[in-house]
Amino acid sequence: MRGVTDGGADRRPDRPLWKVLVISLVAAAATIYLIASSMQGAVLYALTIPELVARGSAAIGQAVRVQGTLVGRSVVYDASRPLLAFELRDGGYTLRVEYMGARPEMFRDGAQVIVEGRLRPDSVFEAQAVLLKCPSRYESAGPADAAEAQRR
Amino acid sequence: MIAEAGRAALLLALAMATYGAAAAVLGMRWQRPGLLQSARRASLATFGLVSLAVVALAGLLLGRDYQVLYVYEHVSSSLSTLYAASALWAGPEGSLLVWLWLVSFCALFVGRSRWAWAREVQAYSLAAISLTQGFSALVLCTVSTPFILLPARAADGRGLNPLLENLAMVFHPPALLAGYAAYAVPFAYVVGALIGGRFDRQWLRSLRGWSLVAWAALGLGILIGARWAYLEPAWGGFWTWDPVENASLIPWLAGTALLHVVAAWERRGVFRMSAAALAIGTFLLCMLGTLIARADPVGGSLHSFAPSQAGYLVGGYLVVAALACTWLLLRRRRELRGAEAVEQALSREGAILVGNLLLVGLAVAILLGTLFPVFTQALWGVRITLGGAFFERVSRPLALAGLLLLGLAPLLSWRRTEAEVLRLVLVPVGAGLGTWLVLAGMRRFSAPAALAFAVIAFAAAGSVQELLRSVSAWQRLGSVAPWAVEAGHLRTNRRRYGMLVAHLGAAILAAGVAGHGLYSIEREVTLQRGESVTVGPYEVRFEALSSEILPAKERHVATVGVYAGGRRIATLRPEYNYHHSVRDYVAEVALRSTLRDDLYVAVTGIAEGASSATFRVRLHPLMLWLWVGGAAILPAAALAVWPAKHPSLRAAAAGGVRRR
Repeated sequence: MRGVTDGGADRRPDRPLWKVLVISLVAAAATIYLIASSMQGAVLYALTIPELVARGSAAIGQAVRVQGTLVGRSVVYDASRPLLAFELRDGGYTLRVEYMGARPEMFRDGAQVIVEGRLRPDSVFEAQAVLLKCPSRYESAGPADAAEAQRR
Repeated sequence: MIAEAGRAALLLALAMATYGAAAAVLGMRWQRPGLLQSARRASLATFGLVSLAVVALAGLLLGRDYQVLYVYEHVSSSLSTLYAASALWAGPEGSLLVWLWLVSFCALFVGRSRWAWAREVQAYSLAAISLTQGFSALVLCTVSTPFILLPARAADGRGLNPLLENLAMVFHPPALLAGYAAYAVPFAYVVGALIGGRFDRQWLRSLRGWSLVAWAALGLGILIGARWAYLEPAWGGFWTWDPVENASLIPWLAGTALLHVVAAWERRGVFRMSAAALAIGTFLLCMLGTLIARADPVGGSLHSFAPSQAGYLVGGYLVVAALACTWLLLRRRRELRGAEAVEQALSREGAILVGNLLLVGLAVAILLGTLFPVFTQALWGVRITLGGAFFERVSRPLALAGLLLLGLAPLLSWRRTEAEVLRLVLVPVGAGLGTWLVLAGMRRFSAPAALAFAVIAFAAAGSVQELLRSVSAWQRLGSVAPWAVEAGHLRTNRRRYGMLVAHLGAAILAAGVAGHGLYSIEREVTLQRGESVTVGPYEVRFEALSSEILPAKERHVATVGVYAGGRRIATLRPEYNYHHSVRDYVAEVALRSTLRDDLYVAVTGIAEGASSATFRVRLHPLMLWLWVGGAAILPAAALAVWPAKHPSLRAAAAGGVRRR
C-alpha cells in the first residue's frame, strides 16, 4: 500500500465479489439485449456487385449495401419526379439502379457510389439511399494519379 | 529542399522522443536527476522539431510547391490562402502531423519541472507520452509521410474538394485533433502513476483538468463537424451514424464517464479503478478512432480514407498498449481500491455509477455496431453492416434514461441523501408531468414524442432549479466578506456551476435532437419561376435566378421568398455553383434559423434554359436548440476548469504540495 496519499479513501475489506459480478452481469446482459433487439430490421448485407450477382435469385428482396463505380453515360435523371437511374460497375459486372430522389452532388463518371436497398425480381436494384464516397475528402490518391497529372 | 528539411526534422523528432522516453525511465531507475532533466529537455526539443516539420509543410502548401505529393493533392493555384493553410489537416498525413504537434505541445506540460508531484510519477508519465510521440513520428517517417516528392513538378494542384471549402474546415479538424491529442495527457498521467505506484492529490487535480480540456475540445470538434454536415446537402444531415462519425463519439462518451469518476475520486476517494481504466480506455479509443478513419476496416464509410499500412501499425500499437495497460491496472488493483463507492443507492455516487454504466454501455453498443461488419467478416465471411436504425434504437432508451439521471443527480448529496432534500425533486417532476399532460392532449404529439419531451423538461427543470439555488446561495455568501468564504466551498461551487451548465446544455441539445428526429419534413420539388411549395407553416416561392461567371466557378443564385400566413417573412438565396476544379455542381444551402424551427432550402438542379429549378426544402423544428445546447460545453468546461482566483486558495493549494 505504499505511497497512496489520498485523504478521502478509508481502507476497507474487499468488496464482496458477488456484488461486483452481479452488477457487471446485469449491465452486460442489458447491453447485449439492447444491441440484439435493436438489430431487427437494421441489418444490411455489404456485398460487392459480383457477390450480389452470384447470389442469384436468393438475393432478391434482401436488404443490401453495394458499392460500385458509376458509369457516367448511364445516368438518367428526371428532376420532375424525381427519379434517378444509373449503372454501377465492379469486377466486370454491371448493376442497374433506380432511386426515387435527387441526384447527389459530384455524381459523375468514375465516382465510387454506395447504394442501400433491395434487388427487384426484374434485376434492377431499387435504392433507398444513394451515398457518394467523396474522392478527395481525406483520400490520398495513388501515385498513379499523380503520374497521370504530370503527363497532362 | 524544404521537404527534405521537414523529413529530417521528423526523423530527429523520432530519435529525440525515443531518447526522451529512455532517459526518463533510466533516470528514474538509476536515480540520476541529470538524466531526468535531459528527458525534459528532450520533450522541448521534440516539440521544436515537430514545429519545424509543421512549418515546413505549411510553407510548402502556401508556396504551392507542386513537386510535393501532399501539396499537389490538396491545394491548387485558385485556392485562397486560408484554405491552402487549412489543407495542412485535409489529408491523413497532414492531420497526423498536426496531431503529433499538439501532443508534443501537451507533453511540455507533462515535463514541466516545477510540478510538485512524486518524481517517479512525473518521469514515467513523461516516458509514456514520449513513447506516444515516438510512435506517431515513426508512422510519419515510414508509412504515412507528408513529404513525398514527385519525380517532376506538376503545373497545378488538384485542389481542395469544394465541399471542404467551408469555414468549418478551418475549425472542425483542429478541434477534433486537439481533443484526441489532449487525451494523451490523462493517459500518460495514469500510466505514470500506475508504474510509479502513487496517486497524489495534485496529480489527481491535473488529471481532472486535462480530462476536462480534452472533453471540451473533442465535444466542440464533434459539434462543428455536425453543423458542417448539416449545411452540406451532400452529407445527408447532421449525424448519419457513419463509422468515422461514430469513431469520434465513442471516445467522447468514454471521456464523459471519465469526468464523473475523476470528480468522485477527488471528492470522496472512490471509483479509482474506473477512473484509471477510463483514462486509458478513452485515449486508446481515440487511437482506434484514427484507425477507423484511416484504414476504413469497416468499409462503406462516406469518409473514404485510403486503406494504408498505417492501419496495421496503429492496430498493432493498440493491441500492445491495451495489453500492457491491463496488466498495469491489475498489478495496482490493491492501491486503486478506494472506499466503498456507493453506500446508499440514492446518492451522488449511485447516480454516477448508473450514469457511467449508461455512458459506457452506449459507447460499447456504438463500438460493436460500428465494428460489426469486421466481426461478421471474420466469423462468416460476409460483411453485414448495421444501418442508422440500429444506432437510433440503441441510443434512444439509453439517452432517455441518461436524461432522467442528469436532472436528478445534481439534487442528490454525496454519500446519502436526506429525505428533505428529495422534496426538491418535486419541481422537475412537476415540469415533466406538466409537459407530458399538455403534449399528450395535443393531436400532433405521439406518445413517444410526449414522453421524450417530458423527460427533457424534467432534466432541464432539475438543472435550472439547482442553478438558481446555487446562485442564491452564492449571493447570500457574497454578503459576507469574500475572504470569509471557505476556499474549498468557492472552488467546488464554480465546478458545480460548470456541471449544471453542462447538464442544462445536454437537455437543450436533446430537445433539438428530438425535434429534428420526430418532426422534420422534407420535400423535393421542381418549381417554375413564380411557383411555390408549402412546407409546414411556410410557403416557399421560387422568384428569380441569377448567374455570373467567376474564374473558379459559375455561380447560380436562386431568390426564394418565404411566406407565413400570407406575409413575406424572409428572402433566401440558395446557390448552385459549377466548380471547374471538380467539373460538377455543388449546392450552397440557404437557411432561416429561429428558435421554433429551421427552414432549409437547397437547389439540387437547374433545368436547361433556367426556366425551372429543383429544390430540396426541409423543415427541422427546434434545430437551433441542438447547436445552442451543444455550445454550452464551452462555458461549462471553462467554469469547471478555471483555476481558483482566490489568493488564500492558491496559497492553500501551493502549501499542500511542497513536500518533495
